[in-house]
Amino acid sequence: MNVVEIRGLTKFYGDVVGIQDLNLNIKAGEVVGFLGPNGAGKSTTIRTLLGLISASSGTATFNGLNALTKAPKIRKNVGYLPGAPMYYNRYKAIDFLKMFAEIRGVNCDLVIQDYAKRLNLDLSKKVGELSKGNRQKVAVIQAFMHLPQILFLDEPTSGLDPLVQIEFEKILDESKARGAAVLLSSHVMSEVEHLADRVAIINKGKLMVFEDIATLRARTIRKIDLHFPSPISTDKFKNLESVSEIDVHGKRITCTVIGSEHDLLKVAVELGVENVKTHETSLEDIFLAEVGKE
Amino acid sequence: MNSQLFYQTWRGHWKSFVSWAAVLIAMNSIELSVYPTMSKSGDSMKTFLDSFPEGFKKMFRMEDYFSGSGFLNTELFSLIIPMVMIGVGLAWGAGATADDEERGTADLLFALPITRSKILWSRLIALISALALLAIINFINLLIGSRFVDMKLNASKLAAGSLGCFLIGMLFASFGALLGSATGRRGATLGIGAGFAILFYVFYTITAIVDKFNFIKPINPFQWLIDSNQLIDGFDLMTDLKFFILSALAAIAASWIINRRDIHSI
Repeated sequence: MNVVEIRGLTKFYGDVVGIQDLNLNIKAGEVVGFLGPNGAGKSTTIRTLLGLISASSGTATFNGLNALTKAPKIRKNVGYLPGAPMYYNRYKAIDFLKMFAEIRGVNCDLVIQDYAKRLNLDLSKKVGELSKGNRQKVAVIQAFMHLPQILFLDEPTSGLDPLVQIEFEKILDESKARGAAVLLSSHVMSEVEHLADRVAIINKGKLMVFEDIATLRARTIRKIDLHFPSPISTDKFKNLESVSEIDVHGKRITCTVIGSEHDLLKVAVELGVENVKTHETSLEDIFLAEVGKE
Repeated sequence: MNSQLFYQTWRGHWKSFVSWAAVLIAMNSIELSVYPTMSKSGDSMKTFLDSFPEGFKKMFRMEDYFSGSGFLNTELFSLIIPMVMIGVGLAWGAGATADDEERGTADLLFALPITRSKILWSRLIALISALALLAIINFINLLIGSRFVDMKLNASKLAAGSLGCFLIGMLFASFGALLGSATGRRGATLGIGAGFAILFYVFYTITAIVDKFNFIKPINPFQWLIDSNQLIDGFDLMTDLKFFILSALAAIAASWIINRRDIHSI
């Protein structure tokens, strides 16, 4: 079941496109990686879903309820970690978190203490006196402390050291196990690749790709090396639709393939190929290829 | 109203509140300490003041300078106390929601399950409580202080005068909140609000001696406040109601706007 359902979501700032005709959904217990270059529309999407800015058109629902209304109940089960979180710096971390919990109308004392211990955060310090990494920990706790069903996380591990990142991933896994739907915006491809079930790539306000990573990999450009017992002609490869950028280096041919490798391998076998090496496509390659299309 | 936000507003402003209260008490004390010298100066001072042009005396409300209430009306209730109230009202009101937008905390706060109007009203109620407390401090300070300098003050009329000052502060607070809600910019709001406060006072003084700008009088809050003369004449419910209704309308408009506007992010 889709916890978050976005249909045709559009936001214009005057004549400037923020996001256009965005269609996305997030299932319970799923993490959707949200990728895009700076200014692509990631924050605009999240801020529109949170009611911070009004949509120009389109719909969005959280558990079937209209998310674009400013009614507070819709945000009761939402956790939000902004990309550049700012705080009430004169507050101690514990007072800030308790204030937010009380505004939410929930008692999160135990969860706050538990997360603070796991993330190694001193709650007695004033937020303004904390380092960037420790302020980010406050942001993480703030987003997760009420055990929300929906999480919007914008660069959640920014400034966190590797050990704390591992603990963050555990907290995220626990949320997934609880059935939370997570939209994870990040520039760290390896992190998204590792954490996300599906990936949405947005550029210039438009959704370019929305698929699971394995499918994406299968249909994106892959570099393949073919080793033959003796030098061969490339003529038979040139006619293959899925193959391009063919280079010959003596007994080795390198080429790129989009989609199925079937035709390439069939010809290669006919020519007596000895060894085939496929270079794994990273999410970064996919991202760069999709963004580069524009 | 959300008690957490009420408390948070007080927590963020209590130092400035204490400073303004200290300023108010200091100004009151200075004026009270001058009063015995003034009242005992006899005919020489009276003759000197009588020699002032009528327009000048009218401008600074010096028609009754030798009575206790007349003296305080001239020295405190025509400018200093209203300006303190306006200063506090504008400073807090302008930041009611604009502070969060400028600081970058609006994204976190407005994403919580609470309406923006509730955030605004919680902050405004904290502000109104601060202004009311200042007016009460002013009332008690003058009531007690006047006893030490043998100044005869009517407690009810002193309360009426303090209420008038509170209400002009509340009016500017609400307009500060309205401008802050519309622009999301505290600095600009403060500048515009302070500009209007000074302009209204300047027009009040000018219209006391020149008729040309009389058309400003009906829309000048300083004119309403000073003309109501509540420290001398007692409660003027119509004027007080006018301040109250306008403040309420400004606050309602602020609430309407903040509920509909896109929130700035930094």
